[in-house]
Amino acid sequence: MELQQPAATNKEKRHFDLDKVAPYIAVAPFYILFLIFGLFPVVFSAYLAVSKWDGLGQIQYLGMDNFSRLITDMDFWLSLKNTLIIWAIGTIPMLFMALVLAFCLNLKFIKHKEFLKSVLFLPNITSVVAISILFGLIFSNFNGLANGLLGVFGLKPIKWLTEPGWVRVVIASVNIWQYTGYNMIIYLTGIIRIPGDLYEAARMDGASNPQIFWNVTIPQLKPIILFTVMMSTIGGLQIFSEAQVLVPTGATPQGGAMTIVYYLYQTAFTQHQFGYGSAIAWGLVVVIMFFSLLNWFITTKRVKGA
Amino acid sequence: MKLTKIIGLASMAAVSALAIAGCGNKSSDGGKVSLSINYYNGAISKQAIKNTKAKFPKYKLTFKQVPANEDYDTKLKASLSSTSAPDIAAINSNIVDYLPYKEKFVNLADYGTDKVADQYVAWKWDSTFATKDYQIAMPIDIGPTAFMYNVANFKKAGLPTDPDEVSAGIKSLDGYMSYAKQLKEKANKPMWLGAVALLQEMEQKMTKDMYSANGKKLTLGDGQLKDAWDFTVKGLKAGYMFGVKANSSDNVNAQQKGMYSGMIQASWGIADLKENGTKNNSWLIARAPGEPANSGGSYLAVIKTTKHAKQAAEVVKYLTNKKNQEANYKELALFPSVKALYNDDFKNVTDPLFGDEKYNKYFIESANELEYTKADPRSTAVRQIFENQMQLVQDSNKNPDKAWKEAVAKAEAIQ
Repeated sequence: MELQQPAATNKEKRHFDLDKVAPYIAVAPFYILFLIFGLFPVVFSAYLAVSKWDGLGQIQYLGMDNFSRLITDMDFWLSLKNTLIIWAIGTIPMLFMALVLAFCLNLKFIKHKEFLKSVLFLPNITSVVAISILFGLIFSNFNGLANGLLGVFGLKPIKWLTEPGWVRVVIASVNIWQYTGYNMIIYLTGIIRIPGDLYEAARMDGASNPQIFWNVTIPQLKPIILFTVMMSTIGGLQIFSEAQVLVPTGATPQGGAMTIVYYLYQTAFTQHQFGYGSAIAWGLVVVIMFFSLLNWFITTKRVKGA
Repeated sequence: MKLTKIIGLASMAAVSALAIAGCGNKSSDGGKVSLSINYYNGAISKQAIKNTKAKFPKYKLTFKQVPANEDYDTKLKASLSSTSAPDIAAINSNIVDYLPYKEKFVNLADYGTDKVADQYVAWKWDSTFATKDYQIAMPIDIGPTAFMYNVANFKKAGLPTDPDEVSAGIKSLDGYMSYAKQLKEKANKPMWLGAVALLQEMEQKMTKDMYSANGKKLTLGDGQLKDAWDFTVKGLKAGYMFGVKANSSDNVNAQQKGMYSGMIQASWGIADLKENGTKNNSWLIARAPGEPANSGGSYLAVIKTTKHAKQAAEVVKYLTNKKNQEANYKELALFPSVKALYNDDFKNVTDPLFGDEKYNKYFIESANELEYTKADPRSTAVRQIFENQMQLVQDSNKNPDKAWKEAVAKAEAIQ
């Protein structure tokens, strides 16, 4: 008996089929990293969301307490409001600008297209922290460039980073600056794929460039526009670094600079309430799912309507 | 930063702590005792490290310097929950967060630290004890505070500029406020950087904690926090604030140009003034008004998972001794917690930034007069709530009474 056991495993080993195993080995680096840094934190944060933990002591099970606290937590809702406002004033003008830029770049008389594309895309690959520091200097309350310009026109300086209304604009502007080029590239790809005869026909009928833009480019780009809106919504709801670097201290939900992820970061990593922080994260998951479903609903309806 | 990254931070920290600790934790290296020491930037001087390596040639000491930011605590906490951590780690002034978890640290009192206890300032020494005879760390430096003032503004307002005269003039908080009034009226200059900065100054002066001794009741220092709040609101409403945050580029500008006039700072604030590019003799130092206060200061602890508790305790005792604290002061301007270093040489220290002023005496007075207040780990969060509300009173013109009430309600909700 004892002798037969290893013999059996040896026999099994002989049947080791490299062709079947190789693909798994090939995807293993991704999956191992995904399991450690992707799946595990997600599962662990779900566990923490129903617990109380300061990062050091015992994890105490709380049940749904964190979630009932979340629903009545005004700070959470105000942070959500800030996030949505920042998203709205950032995303809408950004996508429009990206679309106009993409359209212009595709016009025949524009030269050095590759150079312009690279330059416009550059902000996207720049560190968001560096960009935010730069914007912090531009919008500094006292000696900033923005207030300097206002002064040239005889206008009163604005407290960009401390007024609840303006700080949202500044945070949104970082986002605009960073993502316009990215969305432009996506639109440009879409525009190139629009059949040339549509433009030709429009030009034959005497349409001007703005008319072509509104009546040919935009309708043809609808699926791509919806894609960018959806991606920008998901990204916009997770806005964090911009707010954190521009307002590193004293950010409050009422003060305008506190976004949901910033609130979650502060709760978990500054106040060490990892349980409630995780509950906020799951609250955000619900919000993102809601908006994704909304987007999906609008998209399918449009497709059906078309 | 993406959400997934945030969620991943904790686990990444855990993994990296494991990886880091794994290297240093090997029990022996050819018979040599191997110890790893993790500290953040500016906690230990290069000279002190050199001294320590020379003192313990038989040990393999691995010093690892990591950035001094919020992540330090996250990583340290993660490593404490793992089975392998550095043998020795620096702890910042938030040592109260760690006192409830004394079992994660080696009790240094078991290694004869009582013999050196009287060398250190008592309040700092006491802050290292979780219970009466369980000491989780040894003190490195402290951050006693003094008042730094802008000479040109004081002169313009007709206020005295001699440090001793200023010290006498602002001895009481009423005197402090009257200086602010005169600055506003005669020189049209604000006294303070901002409402939160002033509230923080006042909070540091509190002699009672935010919670009752048994931790059951939110006491807010039995009225002391309210006094600090009211003092700040009074200064704010009278227009004595410049209205800027600390740690901002605006503050750098403001210090250079004297856009505000005074601040209570720890000794390490001198380095900030220098870094911010203020001109020599533009700011001077006086005794801070009211109660003495402390801001900052590090510790060294031996983590329980070490295999060489005795040797690690020896190293910690050596690294925090007089010789190395002196080296830390010379290299990093870390104010020593060893009393014997407050000698004549130390009292006579000058810095071109303050001309020939012998300013250390003001810090020493503060260090000697301080008394230990045991803080509840939740107190930091409570302070933060009130500071955030004060920020709104300043920036959004929020009604101070409403802000106070909201802050109290939020503080009561902390579990």
